[in-house]
Amino acid sequence: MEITRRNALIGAAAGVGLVGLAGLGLHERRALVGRLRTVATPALPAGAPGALPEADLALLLATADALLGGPRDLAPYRRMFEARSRSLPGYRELYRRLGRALERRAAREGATSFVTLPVQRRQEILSDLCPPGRLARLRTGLTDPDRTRFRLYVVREVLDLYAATGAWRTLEFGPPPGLPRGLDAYTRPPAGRGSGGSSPLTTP
Amino acid sequence: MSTPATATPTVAIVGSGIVGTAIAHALAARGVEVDVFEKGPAYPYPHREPFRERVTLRTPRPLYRAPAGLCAVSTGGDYPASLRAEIDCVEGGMASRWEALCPRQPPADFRTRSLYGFGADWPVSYEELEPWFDRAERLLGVAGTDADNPFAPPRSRPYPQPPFALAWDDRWLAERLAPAGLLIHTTPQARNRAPYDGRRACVNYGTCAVCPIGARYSPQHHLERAVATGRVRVHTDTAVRRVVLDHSGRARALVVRPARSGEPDAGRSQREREHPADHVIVAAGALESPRLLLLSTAPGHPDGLGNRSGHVGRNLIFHHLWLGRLRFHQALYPGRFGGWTGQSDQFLDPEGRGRHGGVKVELSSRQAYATWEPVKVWETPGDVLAASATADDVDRALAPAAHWRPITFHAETRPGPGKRLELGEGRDRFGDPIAHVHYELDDFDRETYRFCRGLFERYRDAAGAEDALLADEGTYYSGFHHMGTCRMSEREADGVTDALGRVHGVPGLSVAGGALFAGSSTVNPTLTMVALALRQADALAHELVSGVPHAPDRSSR
Repeated sequence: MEITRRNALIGAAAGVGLVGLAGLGLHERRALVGRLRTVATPALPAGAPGALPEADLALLLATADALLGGPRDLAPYRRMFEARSRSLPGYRELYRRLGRALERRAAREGATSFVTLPVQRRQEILSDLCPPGRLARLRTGLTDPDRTRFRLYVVREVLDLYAATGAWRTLEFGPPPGLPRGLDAYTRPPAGRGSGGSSPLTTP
Repeated sequence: MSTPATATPTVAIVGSGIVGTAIAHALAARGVEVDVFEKGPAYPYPHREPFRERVTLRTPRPLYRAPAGLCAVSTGGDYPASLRAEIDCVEGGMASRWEALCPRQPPADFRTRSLYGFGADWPVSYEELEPWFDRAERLLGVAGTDADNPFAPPRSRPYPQPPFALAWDDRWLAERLAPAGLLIHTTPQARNRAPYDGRRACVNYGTCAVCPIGARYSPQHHLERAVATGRVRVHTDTAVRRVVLDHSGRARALVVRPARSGEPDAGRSQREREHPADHVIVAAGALESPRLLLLSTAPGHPDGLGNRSGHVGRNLIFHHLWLGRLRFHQALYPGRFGGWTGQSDQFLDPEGRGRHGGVKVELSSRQAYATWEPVKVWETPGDVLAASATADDVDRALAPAAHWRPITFHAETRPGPGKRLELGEGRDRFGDPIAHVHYELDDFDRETYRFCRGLFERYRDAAGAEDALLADEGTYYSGFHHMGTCRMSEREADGVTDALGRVHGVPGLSVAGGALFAGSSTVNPTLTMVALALRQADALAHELVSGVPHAPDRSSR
């Protein structure tokens, strides 16, 4: 890992935090951990469920497309965004806020819209707006909870859906759960894998 | 039994899970009127709508959950998992979302006190229960075979359905284990290998908790049939708060209350009421059933019904599941079947049993990255996703899953003073004390863990694993198997009910389900629970219809 000023500061802060934590009693420690958990996992904003406006949907699909890193079937992601907006309180409002945040960042780059940016630029914007990692979640949770919400309720959910579907095919497991796969295929090696061997993406 | 058989007899059942449903279905077939009370909501069957929400739309709505503060339990001791996550208040109970494993409890498990000096002998033997195991297998449509399992208990008839085949990676593993004398065999399960009893055959959707076609058995299948007879009514969203006795000390009614009473949109009568019945059966699981008995005090029963000898809530046992996994150079792609493939009964009754428990070794072809882990042992999908920025990161993080196979040790325990259930300090939404479970491992359990670790090393070495991980001793969970809190006994001094689940000293009241388990148990308990329930229902129907007890109550000896 590159030792940047930022990493050094985070490391120092973590060290101070650990020393401070060790000095607390059990009750205070539990309370603090609970508080940090709340910061790192903010609830969805208030807001009634409802139909997702087309403009917000387009931004969400551009987000999913960027996270997936290339041309994929976005229909399952569209279904998820629409269903969550329609059925679960808070999602429609969060999606609206994400759309505004993405458009602000795109405008800063001189683009007319986030959706018009190339995949790599969209990835960079998302990575900066709602970075991965638990520490990052905590940091954005303290400074701008919506950024943590974008990470938890949009980025994570897109990647979660991918892990349960597209990743199965990419990693050569075959069709994912949720499809009728029959009772024969699992008794044989996955198609094209012969008698097995090292998987393509692993270096054991 | 003193009720004359002049009017249509009535039975009230607390709990609509697999046990309550099996009893309701059996009683209705004998002409008994039955009311089933379930504090959770209705749950559609087959589970097409839950499947659509959870799998297709990835948007589960909170429609199928009991209201807040109704399904609660607190935990003390060293139990590391969440018991709250192990109870499911919904129509059909836990078995509306279960794995559906259906092994028979082996004969030795009924006699661990006599054979090995621990636990308690059951007041019923395997031989007495064998015909009921057979009926239970037929009711649930169990798919299986004993042809590949030399450790299977004796049976009078073959399984009603052929088994599910081992996975390709099971067979790969079996070939490597066989020279070391380690066996993998198929798993009996209540999952349709072929169309059965009006349910469709499994086509491996792999989302078995919400099987969209009903291939995996769910109690709603028989609950709907029971309701269709016109003799069974299911009262969902209805909490049972007490069992009420008459002046003679006989159970005569339940105190019930709409579970959502107090909510603005409850949409039902808010009133608490008494529901009378000729017989009451408490089938609410091994955590809620004893709680209801403890809450139901009455003259002559100041510490709760069936508790004159202080056994209600004592004798709690879980199974102890220690998760492990093995990594191979070869990519095995496990987890491509949603049901259950390989396991081993080889160590259910091992040499040394008594110093430690018996163990079922679970070697099913499943992904090492489960979507949900009850205890934190290693990196989870949540960890992977938290650290991922794009799908490429997810691919890199999940790729090793092709090389890992889970191995789980499903271990027996024994009752003891460190394992008990009592009324806790917390309150439910109606102000009633919730169940409090105190659970801690004892020396027997620690010795069982050492035995499991030895087995783990044998499997690792025999299979040629490159790497291996096993949870530590204190990181285990129950497998959702809670047992023994209202145990059967021949004498009132030793337990809560007789061998037919009739509560000692309280006519008209029975307990059913895993709470009855008298001693220990090595295998998944559901089939044994259903076998006991069918036996109870048969005896009760005989009593209610003829007015004559079915069999001498051995507790009077």
